[in-house]
Amino acid sequence: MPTESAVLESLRSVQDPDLHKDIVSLGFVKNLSISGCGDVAFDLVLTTPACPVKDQLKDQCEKAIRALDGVASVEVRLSAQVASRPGMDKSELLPGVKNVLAVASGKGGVGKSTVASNLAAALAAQGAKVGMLDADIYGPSQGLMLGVKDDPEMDQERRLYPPTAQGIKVISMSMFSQDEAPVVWRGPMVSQMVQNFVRQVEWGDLDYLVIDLPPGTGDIQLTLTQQAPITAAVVVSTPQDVALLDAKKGLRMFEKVSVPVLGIVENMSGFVCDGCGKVHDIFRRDGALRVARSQGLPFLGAVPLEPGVALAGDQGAPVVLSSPDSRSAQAFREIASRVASELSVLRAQADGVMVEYDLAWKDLPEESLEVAP
Amino acid sequence: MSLAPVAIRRYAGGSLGVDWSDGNRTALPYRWLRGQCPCARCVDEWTGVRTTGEADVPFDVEPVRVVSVGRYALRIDWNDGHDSGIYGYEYLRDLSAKFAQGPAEAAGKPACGSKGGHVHD
Repeated sequence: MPTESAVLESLRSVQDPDLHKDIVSLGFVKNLSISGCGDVAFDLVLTTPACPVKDQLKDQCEKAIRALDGVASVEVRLSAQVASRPGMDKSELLPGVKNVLAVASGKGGVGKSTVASNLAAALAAQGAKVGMLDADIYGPSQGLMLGVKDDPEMDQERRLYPPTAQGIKVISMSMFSQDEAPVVWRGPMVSQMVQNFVRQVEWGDLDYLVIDLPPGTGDIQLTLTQQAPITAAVVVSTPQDVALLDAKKGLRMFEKVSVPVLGIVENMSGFVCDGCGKVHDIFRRDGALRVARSQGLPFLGAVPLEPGVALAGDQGAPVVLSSPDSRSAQAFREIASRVASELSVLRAQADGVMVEYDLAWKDLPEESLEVAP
Repeated sequence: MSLAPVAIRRYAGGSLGVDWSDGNRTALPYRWLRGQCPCARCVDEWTGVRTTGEADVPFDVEPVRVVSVGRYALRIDWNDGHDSGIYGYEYLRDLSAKFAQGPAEAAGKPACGSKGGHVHD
């Protein structure tokens, strides 16, 4: 039978393609056991259940160990522990939430909310704990898109408990306005509302909290991105030049408040004909890809227009759940995986940086300041 | 990775120090820093003219709380009750450069005995 160090040594040949380190140094290998007759088993703990290369990693592990002498069998148990936002323990906002992902667009009508609900559903379907904060004051639609039936509950301490739909905890602006009358939100009111959503909602433990931001790059959007402790954002655009121009403004807004942008999602990327199955490019092709390249950002993927997508959303089930085999569902799943792995990379890069803090000055130790002459 | 603090330090003699993600370390004396507050109560929003400077600030001014604002700035709540100053990280770095150039010409004389600017290891 192989020794523990021989097994670990051979596992060092397996690299995580995103984090560029071997899985042993990354601490992914846990609970290694080697039986007397050469049965090797261990947990492979990845940084996200939505890891796009989990099967590839598992294969590589099995191959590496089988190559050792005296191995009778190999069992690789996949699991995931989502890495949290740096500085999380010091944070007073959203204490149990590991990653906050903002979904934004430079203009309305590009399908931002559809992308948000499908990303949330795709992450949840892969085993992550997901929440949705619908902050789109102009047209809060997540309640409808995710098929939320219940109202949030409030306890005596005025803490709000979000209802769950499709396994996702949802809080939406629409839950706090009467009837169907549009609410006239003034800037300071929105700001207050978002503060309340962030502070008073009991999100519990979440791997990902998706925030559906209002479209555009005005004062309200800027305030929201400043106030919510956002880990990173994705920007949604259609392939038209007008939309792309506004998407660039969106990128600049995030740059201003130092929120990293994971990349661009191209929505309505061609129309999939329900008669012949052919993809027709209604707008130009690859517009978002070009913008992403010119801005040095990852292109996260393209979602085609399929008649079923909008319908599914309207009926309260995102397409990744209602027609998981459709082209758009596949695209959404791939984008969700990309997003999850980019967030893991970001976490690794931000190691050691203070992101959220609240320091009581007198409690800090006084250090001596030595200034060179 | 954008510019962010790795550590925030309270230095004896009354300076607020930051170790930055790019390896730089800075320290600025409280009173001078309070005098550079960029908020609308200290700088006229329309003219850009500073209305509250170091000379208007108590000698014993010091922070009570230092709180992160988003990912781009920190807010200092001072013991004189002033708590609206949001110091962007880029702004703090500019201030350090300004202080290092010569605090006297930058913003009048600094508090007696105060030291600061860039810290050299």
